[in-house]
Amino acid sequence: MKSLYKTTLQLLLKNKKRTMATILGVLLSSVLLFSMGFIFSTTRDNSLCDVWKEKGYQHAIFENIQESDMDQFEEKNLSWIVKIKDLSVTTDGWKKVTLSMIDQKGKSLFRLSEGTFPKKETEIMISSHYAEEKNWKRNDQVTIQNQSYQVVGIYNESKIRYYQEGWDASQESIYTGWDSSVDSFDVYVRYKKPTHAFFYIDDTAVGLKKKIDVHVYDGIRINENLLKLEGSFADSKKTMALYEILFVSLFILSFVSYFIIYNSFLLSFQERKKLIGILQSIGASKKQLFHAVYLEIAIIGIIGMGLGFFLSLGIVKVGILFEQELLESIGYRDIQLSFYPQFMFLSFAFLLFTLILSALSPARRAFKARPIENIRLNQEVKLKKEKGKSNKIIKKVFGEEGILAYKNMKRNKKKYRMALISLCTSMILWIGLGTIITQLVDEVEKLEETPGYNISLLLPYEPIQSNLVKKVTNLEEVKDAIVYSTANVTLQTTNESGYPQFLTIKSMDDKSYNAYLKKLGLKEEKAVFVNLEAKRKEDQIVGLQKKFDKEEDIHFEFCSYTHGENHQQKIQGCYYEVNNLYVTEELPEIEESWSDWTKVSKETLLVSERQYREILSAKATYEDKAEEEMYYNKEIYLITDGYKKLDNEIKTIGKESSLYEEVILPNYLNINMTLYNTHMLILGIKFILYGVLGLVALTATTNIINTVNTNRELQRREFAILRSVGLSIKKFKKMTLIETLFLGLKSWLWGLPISLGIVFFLRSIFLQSEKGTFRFPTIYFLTSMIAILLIMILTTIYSVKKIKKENIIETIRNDNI
Amino acid sequence: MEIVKVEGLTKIYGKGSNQVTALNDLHFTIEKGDFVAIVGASGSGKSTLLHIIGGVDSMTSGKVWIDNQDISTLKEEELAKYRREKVGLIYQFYNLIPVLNGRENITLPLSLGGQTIDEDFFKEITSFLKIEDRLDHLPTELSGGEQQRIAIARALLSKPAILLADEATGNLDSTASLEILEYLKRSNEQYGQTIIMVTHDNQLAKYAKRIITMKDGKIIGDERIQNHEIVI
Ligand SMILES: Nc1ncnc2c1ncn2[C@@H]1O[C@H](COP(=O)(O)OP(=O)(O)OP(=O)(O)O)[C@@H](O)[C@H]1O
Ligand SMILES: [Mg+2]
Repeated sequence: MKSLYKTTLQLLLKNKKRTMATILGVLLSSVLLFSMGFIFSTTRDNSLCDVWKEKGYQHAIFENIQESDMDQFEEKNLSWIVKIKDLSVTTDGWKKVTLSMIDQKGKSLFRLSEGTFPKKETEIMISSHYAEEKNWKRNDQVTIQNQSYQVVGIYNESKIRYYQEGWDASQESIYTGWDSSVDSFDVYVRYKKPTHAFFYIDDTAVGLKKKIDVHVYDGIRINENLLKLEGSFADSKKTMALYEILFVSLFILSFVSYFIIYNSFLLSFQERKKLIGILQSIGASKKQLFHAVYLEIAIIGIIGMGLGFFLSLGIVKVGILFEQELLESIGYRDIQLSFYPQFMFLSFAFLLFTLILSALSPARRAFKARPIENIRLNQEVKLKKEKGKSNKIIKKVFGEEGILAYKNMKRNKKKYRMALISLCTSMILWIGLGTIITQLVDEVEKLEETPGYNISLLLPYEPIQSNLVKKVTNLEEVKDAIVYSTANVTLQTTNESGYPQFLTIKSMDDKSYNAYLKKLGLKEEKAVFVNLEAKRKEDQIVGLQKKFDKEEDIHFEFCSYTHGENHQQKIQGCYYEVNNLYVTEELPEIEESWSDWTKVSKETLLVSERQYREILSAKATYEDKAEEEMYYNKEIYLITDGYKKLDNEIKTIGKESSLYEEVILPNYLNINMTLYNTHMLILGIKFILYGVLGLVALTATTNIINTVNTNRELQRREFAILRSVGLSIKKFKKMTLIETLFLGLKSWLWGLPISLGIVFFLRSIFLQSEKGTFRFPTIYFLTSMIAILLIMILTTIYSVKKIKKENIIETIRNDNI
Repeated sequence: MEIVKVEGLTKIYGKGSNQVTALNDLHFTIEKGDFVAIVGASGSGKSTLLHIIGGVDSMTSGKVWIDNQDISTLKEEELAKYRREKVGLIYQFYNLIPVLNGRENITLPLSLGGQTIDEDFFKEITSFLKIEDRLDHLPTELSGGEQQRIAIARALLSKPAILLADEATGNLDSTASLEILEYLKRSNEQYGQTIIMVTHDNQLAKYAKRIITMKDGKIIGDERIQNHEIVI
């Protein structure tokens, strides 16, 4: 037994090339899987951490909840639920300090380095950083906002609002114990299954009467970014699409890994058939031979997977360094490398499974054969009657060498089949993952699309509007300006939950409005109902959850409501009616792109400035208020060539207003300046995606080279014999190249249709989601077709050069191992 | 005592129109300690017969008893044991393991069976075959004759019931061939080793005590050489 193990080991050592090729196969698969694991875990963990810092770890915050409402949270599959009441927010230097009351259930969300969780409203718990900064110790009596508190605990980790020891936060949270006499508070919840979160939130919202419309809630802050990262979208189709894409990627990856490894082992066993035969003939039992194979799997597996793991770790680490360099200018924090143990376990298990399966099936086949069959290297060479026609064509095109190459291929079908599968695998990998990555890049690049303007300003209050709008639009640097007014009105109709429906009405300045009417082909002034949702369904017009047969049937009535008992609302009376609408999906020029709040909502009524005034004054009259009290927004969009200069000018004007800090600045957006940050972030994401693509290209290329080389290696003896009977090196080269060409073209024949199938499947996934687009990956098809031939030919030329140097007799004599 | 008994042995290769009957209903026995040469035209089924007796090829029908054991009924593991312990096969191409040196190649069958090596016997064989000083070399570093002697030593070391040689000298020049034959003959005389040898060379066949002639998968001649003393 020992000597058989020794034989195995020595065989691996002696046949370095073969062993390296097999290890390379395992290595490639491991690198591919592990780096995907690293990239996925690292990206997700870091994004999660970002969201956690910015928005917290809860799935949703329900504001203004009373103790009597708490039963609405029962049986909602919660991971945790905590009541918090913010008592005060102050600034301490440049820090924002929030003092909040927290109930005992929050205890599990903190890790205390010292002391206890606060129980009374006179006790507080602070972060370790703040304790150090303030030099507050446990049991100290401190004063906050003229109130005296006792420090009872110091935490070094918080899940609810991000805190980790060593993190110098710009926000500090101080928590006091719960005072049960408090009448309303916020409820922070996290669900056990993020994918169910939207369902439960909706359920609770209905119970709390906080649901206004589909996905629209009053006083519920949903942590959408966190949920997205946890694989849950408000739009369940998106969740599905995400999983489908993940599934397809994983499928391609595992498919490719499996074939790379399988191929390596199959070739390795084919080469060793004779040796196996000899061992069998001198009495090695099947069991013993299998033991030797296990040893081989172990050695190759450990080396291949081990190297693969560390190599991918290295690759990802270098990638992170570059990424950090890239994002440094926009103040991105350190990126932490992470790797989910589940991923690690799954990858290892999958690789091991593949290894065993790949090694055992050719081994079993070889061991089943009679020893003499193995010794004689019997191959199932099936001689079919050759088609005279194709022979003639080949002879004409490629000459005698072509015939030789063609016959060689026909008769060594099995060997070539493996090579073919291997080449197709490379093709499918490149095209499949290439498609996914381009699609993702496209998606990301959409964020960078510039709108038709450079600066936007939203002014929510009347007092600052008229004056500022004039001043700003009249600035010298302004090339063009569009001004919108926006207000919400209540309709006579109610939605399915019994709430009155809202409609956003918008007006543009006359110039822009006329331009828009012209774009729509309207001759006279008309109210335009912009309906992005679905303009027409089955010949009917759908709007505000209603169906209309004709445009003329649509009319809106604007009404006033009174607040009654139990959140009930009753119509008080109506003050305005719009008829004769024009329904369209087309947006005004500037609306067609970008930022969410500049966009008209799905259903918006665009009217002239005159009509807009009319509506608002009718409302004011009816509700007996001054027109100035009508709440509405003004939006200004400016087009300029000198955004920096204009930026300064607007800020100077703005500063004259007392509301500059509170209102003007937060609603001011200089796109060119903001875009720089977005641009850098997109660059960062693209870097990751293209990094993955590079890795894929590397794997595919190495796989092709590996395949061609092994094929050559297997034929070395045959070629030496051919040469010994007088085939010149030149002719030999020609023959080999023709063979390569045949093989390459044949791989197109199989690889292209399969890839096409995968691409169409991906297409259906990407087109599922709303506004999905799909770009046919022509470039990947072309590159893979060309690259396969090119790499194969180059490898062949190189290997022929090496064979040229070989001693013919040595090669013939050397028994095939 | 008969060590080989063959009854109705038939071997058919291939299927349908490609069918070849390599052995056609053979019946014969071989006594223990005999030295049999099998001769016949190319393609007459000599190698096939030897391979079946050696347990490296399967039979289509019939029965073969070796040392009173019906090898047609043996299972995989038993067959491996049979190959390890009962037979020694020598091929025209020496079929040594290229990564093992001479010594390791010779002892491989025994170590596969987990048996200890009889060092005295090992020395005796290797000196008898004149390969003591070539044992540390890899097969590629040995001449054809030396490789073949290593293969013979490998076959002899496990003291097999029968030694099977398929054109064991086909690859060697006449001096080397005669030398190998001499070793075979001596092992037959010295150790009482039963030998079945396939050869093309009538001259070499004369070393044997009995010559079986085959044609088209059938035995057409079986003669015992009375006085087989031959002077080299
Ligand atoms: N694997 C095989 N498949 C099909 N036919 C085979 C196979 N092996 C041998 N044969 C056929 O069986 C017959 C006997 O072959 P065998 O090798 O036993 O002949 P041989 O007597 O040893 O010939 P030689 O003296 O040339 O070695 C031949 O006709 C041969 O073509
Ligand atoms: Mg033969």
